[in-house]
Amino acid sequence: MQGAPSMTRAPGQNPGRPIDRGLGLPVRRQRSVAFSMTALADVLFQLLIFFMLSSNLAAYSLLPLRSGALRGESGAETPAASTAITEASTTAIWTLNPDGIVASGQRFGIDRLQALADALAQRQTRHVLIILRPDVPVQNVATVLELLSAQGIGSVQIAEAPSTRRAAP
Amino acid sequence: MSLRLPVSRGRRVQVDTSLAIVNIVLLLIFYFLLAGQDPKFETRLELATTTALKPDTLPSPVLEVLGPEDWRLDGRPILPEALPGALAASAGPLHLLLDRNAPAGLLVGLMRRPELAGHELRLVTVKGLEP
Repeated sequence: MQGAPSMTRAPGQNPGRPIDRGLGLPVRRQRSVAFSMTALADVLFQLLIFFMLSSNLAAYSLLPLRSGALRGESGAETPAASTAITEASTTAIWTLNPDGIVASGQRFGIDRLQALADALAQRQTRHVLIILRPDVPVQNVATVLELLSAQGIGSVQIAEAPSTRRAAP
Repeated sequence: MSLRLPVSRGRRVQVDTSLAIVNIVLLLIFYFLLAGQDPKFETRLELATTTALKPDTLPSPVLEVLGPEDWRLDGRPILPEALPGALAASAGPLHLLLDRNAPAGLLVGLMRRPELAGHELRLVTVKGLEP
């Protein structure tokens, strides 16, 4: 029994060390493995670019046309009979035609809308009455309302005018 | 007389920033994943374009106006008489989809409809490029 390998650990022996069983096998050294994150970062960047390009962030805009009418507690609309008197200098009247706009008796093209809106803002006009022909495209109406909203003119009223198209004989 | 002080060896301190980069990129991916979930409203209408209005999402209810009596609420056809009942549950504004080339008389006639009385109306436009 003298040559048999000892399987018991000595009292002062390190418990982490492998027990030498006397077989002479090569001791496996622990290699430190360093994990490189470069490839992971590359993949994540490509995913990020894909999602950035494919996501649609708020493609729409909402143009307020009319605020809700006042309603009573029972749900019925309350009559809004009120009279407001404003100065004529703070009110502008525009006639929106299919081929342009008439303001102060002068005819302008749609491309001059920005200049007209700037002039309204300089004169501190607060109210605009738009006389709208029914055959004006919705795009022109949206452009006018957007420009007036950008100039801070929130009081816009629309009156429908008869169509400029004459009935065929 | 010179002092033979021990030379301090310049040890390079390597800061591993790749983990922080990966974390930030992951957060950005999550953000764009969630932000891109809002699907576009499928419509065959060509909406009007605006440039100065701030971009916004398109919440329900959405009324697609194809004609004076041809309406679709949230993608489903609806009769004008049935619209007040369908809108009774939603207290928010009603979003109108009209073709940009549609006559303004259609829009004005829509605002006059008694079925839409008392509802806040918003015209839906698409974000256009600056001129």
